[in-house]
Formats: sequence, C-alpha cells, structure tokens
Amino acid sequence: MSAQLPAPFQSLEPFVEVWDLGSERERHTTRLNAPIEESQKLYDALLPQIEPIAEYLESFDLNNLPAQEQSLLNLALSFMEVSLTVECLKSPTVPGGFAFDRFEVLY
Amino acid sequence: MTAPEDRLVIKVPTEIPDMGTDPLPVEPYISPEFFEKEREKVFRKAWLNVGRVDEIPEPGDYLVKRLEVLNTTIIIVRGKDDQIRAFHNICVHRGMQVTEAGCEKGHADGFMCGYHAWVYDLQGQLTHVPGKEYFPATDFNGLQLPPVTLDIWNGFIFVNDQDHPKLTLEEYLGGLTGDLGDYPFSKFNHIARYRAKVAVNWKTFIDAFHEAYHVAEVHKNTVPDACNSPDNPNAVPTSARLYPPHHSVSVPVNTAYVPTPAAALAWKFGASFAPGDVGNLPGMNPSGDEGWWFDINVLFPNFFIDVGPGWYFTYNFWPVSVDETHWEMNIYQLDATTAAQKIAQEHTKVLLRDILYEDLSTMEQTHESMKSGKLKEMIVGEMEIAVRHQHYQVTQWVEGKGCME
Repeated sequence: MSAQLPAPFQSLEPFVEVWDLGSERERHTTRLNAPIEESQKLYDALLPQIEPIAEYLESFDLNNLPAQEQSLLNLALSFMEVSLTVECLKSPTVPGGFAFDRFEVLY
Repeated sequence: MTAPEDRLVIKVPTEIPDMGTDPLPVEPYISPEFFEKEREKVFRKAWLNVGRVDEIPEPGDYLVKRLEVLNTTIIIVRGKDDQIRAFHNICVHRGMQVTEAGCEKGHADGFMCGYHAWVYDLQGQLTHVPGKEYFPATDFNGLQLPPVTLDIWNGFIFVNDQDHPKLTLEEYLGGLTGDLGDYPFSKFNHIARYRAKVAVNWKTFIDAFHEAYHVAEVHKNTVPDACNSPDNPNAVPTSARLYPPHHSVSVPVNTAYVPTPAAALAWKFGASFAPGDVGNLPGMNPSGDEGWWFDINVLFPNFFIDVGPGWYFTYNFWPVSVDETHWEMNIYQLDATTAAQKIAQEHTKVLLRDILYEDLSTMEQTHESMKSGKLKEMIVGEMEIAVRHQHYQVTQWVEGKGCME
C-alpha cells in the first residue's frame, strides 16, 4: 500500500482510516461516536507532532494541498476536535449538554 | 461571601434608564397574547439581521430566509448593479414562492415561479408571463416581487417590515456603532455555523447569553476557570454600556487562567477563544478594562455580535412561537494563511461549539418551569443588568413606547 502521509509523519498512518476527515461535521460526528480511548490515542500520538506538522506544512499553499499533506492537516484538525474530550470533558459528548443529535453542525 | 459594601461594581459609563430593581414577571415569557404583541410591536418594527454581505459576493447570489415571526419568507439577492435587495418570496400571480422548497441559498439570473413559470429579474421586476394575452384586464407595468426594506451596516444585512421605518438602520443602532464600528469585520472569514431548534421562549434563550454569572456552573466542564478568578469569583462584567434599546457587556477574564495543551498550541499559532493575548484590534474593549475577555454586543431585539481578539461570533435568535426559538451561531476569524493558523482556528471552533452545548442545556428545563405557572417572578441581580435591560426594552416596545414608534 502506498504511503498516505508525508514521510516524516508515517508513524501516524494508523490514524488515517478513522480521522482523515475534511469537515468539522465529520470530525465531530466521529468524536461523538468513538470510545474515549480512541480519542485519547489520537490525542497522545498527535500532541507532540502538532508543532512539527505546522512547521512542515508552512511551505505549502494551504488552499491547494497535495493529498498526503491534506491528510496530515486533517489529522491535526481532528486532534483539536478531540482535545476537549480528552483534556476537559473526559467524555465523547458534553456531559449534561444539549442533545447532540439536535445540535446541527452545518459545515 | 464578600461583604455587600465590598462587592464589585460594574462600570456603566452611559446613562441607565429607570429599570427598577424589582423581580421580573414571568408572564411575558409564556403568554401567547404577549407573544403576538411582540410580533407586532417589536419584530414588525425593529431592524432585524438576516445575514452578511460576504454570503452573497457575486451578482445573482441569493439567500432565502424563512422569518416565522413575520409570517413570511424573504429572498436577499445581489443584483447585476451590485446592490443588495430583499423581496418577499411571493409570486404576484397567485402567491406561490419563486424559489424551490427548502432552498436556503443559490445563484441565478432571475427567479421563476414553479407554478405557472412567471419570471422575475434580480431587481424583482416581473419580466415574463406565459400566455400574457389571456390577462387583458391586468396592467403588468411595474409588477414585481413585494419589496422588503433593507439596509446594511458594516457588512451586516438588516431588514425592516415597515415600508418607511421611523429610524434608519444607522440611527437605530445609535451609540453602539461608535464602539463597535471600527472592528475590522471585513477582514474576517466565516468558519462555522451551528443551529438548533429549542422549545423555549426567545427571551429566555437570549437571557442566557448576556451575563457571565452562569459560567462557573454551566461551563464547569469546558472553561471552568476562564472568567471566574479569585478577585472576581462570580464573573461580574468589567463594564457595560446601554445604548437603548441595545447594550454591550464586557466579560471578565481570569488572568491566572492556565491554558490546556491544545489551547496553548492554538495561542502559539493564532487566536483561540480560550483566554490569551488580547491583541489590539480596534472596536473591542471600549471601556479599556483590565482583565477583559470579550464584548457581548446585543443589537435589539435578537442579534448578538460578540467580539474578541482575532475572532468574533454572532447569534440570531428567531422566535417561532411563544414556546419555540430557532437559534443560529456563526463564527468568524481573521483569514488563515498558514496551516498553523488553520489548526488554531479549529480550537476556537471546537471550544465554542462544546461551550454552546452547555449553554443550550438549561433552556427547555427553564421554559418548562416557567410554564408550570408556579413561578410568577424571576429574581435578577446587578450582574444581570443586560437581562433587566432587555426585559425593560421589550416591555416598553410592547406598550408602544419603543424608539421605532
């Protein structure tokens, strides 16, 4: 199988299948439905990589990323999506919050 | 508890109308009769925000908005002359809407009614009627989609149900625009939109968004220590400004707030909603407060523009009935030109969104309690000055004493 992420970040490939998602709505839906352990794994793996990822992507045109670089950015955005779950909520959903299936995320 | 004489006092540099200090009656939040008065005396008189100009950047771009409280659906369209106009979505033939059911947005050279194919141009003029010769008694000259009064402030599009509103939009917004007018709205990009339909009165909904007293409890799982500090444990606003019927409230920040690892990364890359560097954008923190987080600007009756360092967001609260409100939130940030900024933006979005789940959680239970009839009055404190002012304004308008009469 060909590489899905740029060479320096290939250790993150196990996360591509679930978390390489191009919209907030998809990332949020995935977080809501994933066991917290899955979010925690993504968070732990990505946290030390976020700065290197940002630095690596610096030289690319943000609006015209090649496929591997876009996947890498998507993983970083998924990191932010799960950050609340892991750091604060300790739950995939917001404890005591409004029903997530009635809260519409449009994009 | 702090001794009463040592309590923090909100700075209010503007004049404060005589709003009293009594509890507020619950009746206006549950009475269908009161709601009908609000429809006629508030929503049919006030300037109402329906979008932003950047949603329709090209000639022929249009939005379709259902405005339940006005019992109408409107089209907001940018013409070939670049002018933005609004029309009721009503074919003058026999009343069918001229956009497809459920359409919210589109691009067209004109509008064709899907019933008998009458055609209107982007300026709303009727340009084609099939079998026109069979209407010998009709003068088609000047027939058009019924126009809606529209004006624009700082890229925000407002409509008014009156053909000749008493005040122009600029006059209506008054002193509020002095503070907020310099904020660089046009440099921001739209990054998120959220919606919910909630079984609650529109005023109860709004009241949850212009005080910070609730933050320590309601937001205990997302930002438990963002605005409550040892010096200000109840999150008393640092200042407030009343520009009747509007107002603006500045939310305090906990300067000792310790960011989470993700928030710290976001701040390294750009601006997060989590407390951090306040920067120096014009049009925010108008009273120059220390320990300032962001400003809540309430444009009466149902539109909020909350501005902060590098992001702003808006709420529209649309009454559907006395018991139902449709809510929409839009988030805007300074343009992300690097991946790092894009990653930072995602943090703002995700944090605000999860905070909103908490805000919305109190609505339906509160409304149920109000409808029980067992609560006749609500107790409103000094920290909730905006709640009192909103209630005062609604009451004034319903009694025919609003500024648009």
